[in-house]
Amino acid sequence: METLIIQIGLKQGRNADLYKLNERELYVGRAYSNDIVLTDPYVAPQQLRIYRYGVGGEELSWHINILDATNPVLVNGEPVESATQSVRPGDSITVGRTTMRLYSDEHEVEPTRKLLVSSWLHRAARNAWLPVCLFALVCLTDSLLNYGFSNTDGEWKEHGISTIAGMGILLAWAGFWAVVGRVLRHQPHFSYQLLVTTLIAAIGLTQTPVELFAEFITDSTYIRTLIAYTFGTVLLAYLLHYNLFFATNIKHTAILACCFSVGLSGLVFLFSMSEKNEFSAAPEYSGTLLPPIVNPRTGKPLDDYVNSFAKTFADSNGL
Amino acid sequence: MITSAKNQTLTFIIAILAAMPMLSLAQSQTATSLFDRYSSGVVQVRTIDLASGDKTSIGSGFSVDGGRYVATNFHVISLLIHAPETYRLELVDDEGKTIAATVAAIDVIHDLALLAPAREVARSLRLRATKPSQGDRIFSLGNPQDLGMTIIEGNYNGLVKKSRYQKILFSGSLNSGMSGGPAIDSSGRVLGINVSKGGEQISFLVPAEQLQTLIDNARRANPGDRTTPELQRPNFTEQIRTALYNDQSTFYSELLEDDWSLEGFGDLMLPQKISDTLKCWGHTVEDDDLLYESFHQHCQSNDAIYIEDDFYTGQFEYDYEWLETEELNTFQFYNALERRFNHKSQHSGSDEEDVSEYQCNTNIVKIAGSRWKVSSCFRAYQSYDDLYDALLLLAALDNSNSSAVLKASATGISQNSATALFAKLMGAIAWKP
Repeated sequence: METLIIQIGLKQGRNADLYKLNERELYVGRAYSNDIVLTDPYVAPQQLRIYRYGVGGEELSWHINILDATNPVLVNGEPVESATQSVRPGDSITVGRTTMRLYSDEHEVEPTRKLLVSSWLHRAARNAWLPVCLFALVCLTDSLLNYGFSNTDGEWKEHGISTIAGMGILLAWAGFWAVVGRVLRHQPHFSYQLLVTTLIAAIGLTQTPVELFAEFITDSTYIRTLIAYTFGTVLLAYLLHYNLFFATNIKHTAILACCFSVGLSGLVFLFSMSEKNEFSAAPEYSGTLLPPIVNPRTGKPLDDYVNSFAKTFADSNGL
Repeated sequence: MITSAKNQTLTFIIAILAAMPMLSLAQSQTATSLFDRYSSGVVQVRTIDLASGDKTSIGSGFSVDGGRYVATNFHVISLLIHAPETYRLELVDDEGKTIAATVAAIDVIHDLALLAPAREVARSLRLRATKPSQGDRIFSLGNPQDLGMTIIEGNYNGLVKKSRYQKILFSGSLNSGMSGGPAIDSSGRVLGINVSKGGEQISFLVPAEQLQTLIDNARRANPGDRTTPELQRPNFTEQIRTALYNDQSTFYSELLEDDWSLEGFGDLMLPQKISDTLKCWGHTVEDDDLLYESFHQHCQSNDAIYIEDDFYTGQFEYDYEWLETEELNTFQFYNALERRFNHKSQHSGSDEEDVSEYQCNTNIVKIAGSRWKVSSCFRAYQSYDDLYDALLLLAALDNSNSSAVLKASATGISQNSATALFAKLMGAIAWKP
């Protein structure tokens, strides 16, 4: 016997309410006496009757009977003019601000999605202590690296404030996605969100040393800018991918995250280009200095360096 | 005897006191009579915007060479030089009558110009061939801020020391609008031309001998005509370029020929005070917030050649800084060093119509047996071929807790001069034995 599935709530990622209708008729409305109760103030206490009907040898088909005409009822977006209208699986019925979608019980569901996270990540994230410990470790490492490599006045205060601000940003980011997960999937997954955010932040700690070293080795500020944009885009894409994965049921989170990251990086680049003066009276040069213990370069002979001025002069003349 | 001596002293003091008002009166009479006699030889020089017909800039000038020319400063008439299609010149004499004028000759190095007036100015002034004595009273005439012709009294204080170009130090107060006016002695002979102000009662004059040279050159170039017809307008851009090129060539050739003596600076031996025309200063950085010690030596030329507003050239300067620490680790120290690794800012010009963008050549270079990070940047002058602004910046990279940051800057320098200068500066660096 054919069964009609009524799904209420259609938004991507949200758990829908499903009702099955077999032989009997079913009433939809705001009153609690209905089979499907809609808490929509634009729906009448008794709005619809959904039932199966056939005359003589005619095949049975599904119909709706409109019991209140205060607000129009739409089938597939079109208002129903008569009191009765036939419907079939695949149709949508809109009453008030609520939409119901009809399916048959033979409707194919999408294939099972494969979880992208490793079992280690799942096991680890179940224990809240790991994300919290990792978070603390990353923040402490960031603070120590900052102090050990760039402090020139011996003051801890500035580094302390910077560390606390960094911790706040990481927590706020993970918390935001936990709220998104709570709204869209009824599952906040704060531990997961904090874990991936912290892991990405840990990888991000290597960005500045890599940039500095690359600029120092090549004497090129363009290389540094390229690395900064590439690093930033890739890390943001990974972060968003996992954030979306845990917080939503969106199918192609990786593609979406990549598109967003590349788009954002492109916008930042365009904005920085528009901010840059068309003509600069200040010289642009590589100003990175690294100490001898991380300096692998041997040094060009002075004569060779001076001889290379000719090209620089030619460049300044636009030749 | 004692009473008699007291009386004599008293009489002497009374005589002095009595004479002072008379002395002051004599001075004011000199200024008054000089103004009466010579102000008719002084004019206001106006640059007139052709579109609006109104004056865009003003200065002063005076008639010389028997009325053939009016002398003034180059910077007074530079608008016309750079945009002859936009401006014209007009002279206003002491009676308020206007006289059209064209530019006959310029000396951009000494900031002088000769104008050819359409008719002679009432009185021509004579130039003084000899230098006055230090302290002599001299009088400057001009039209400050378009307020009318004035005379200012001051003293001749000799030529400015530590300068590439001869300038007279005039202890008087010039004001804007007086540029190009004459400074005369008590007999009315011109000993200098008003050019700039350096502070309260500190003003500068171009010596009259520079003007005489310019007049002689102009006579040779134009032996017959009293005026320079527009069709024969000289190529001033080329003249400026040649003057700038020759001037820098002379200065840097002499500088590079000299044997530079090396003196200790931190752990380094560096060439110091390489030219008598440079003013040098030194100081130790005393900042309790810094966990390193540092000290500087800074030498610079005080001369700047005016090309147009916001475009000066001809400057040369260098700055040495030694830094060392016992409190910072090597990464922290190099971070502090990196903050000091900045090129000197140049004020020669910031307009793309005047200069190209800087092109920099940065590399790790072996100097005096150790590695240095060196950045050399050059930008070309758009209108003056083979003249550049040049910057040099280098930092020593082989010590963990001490280093030097050396900077040099030259504006209006040729490719050959800049290359040779930077090569010699870097090649002269040595470590203390």
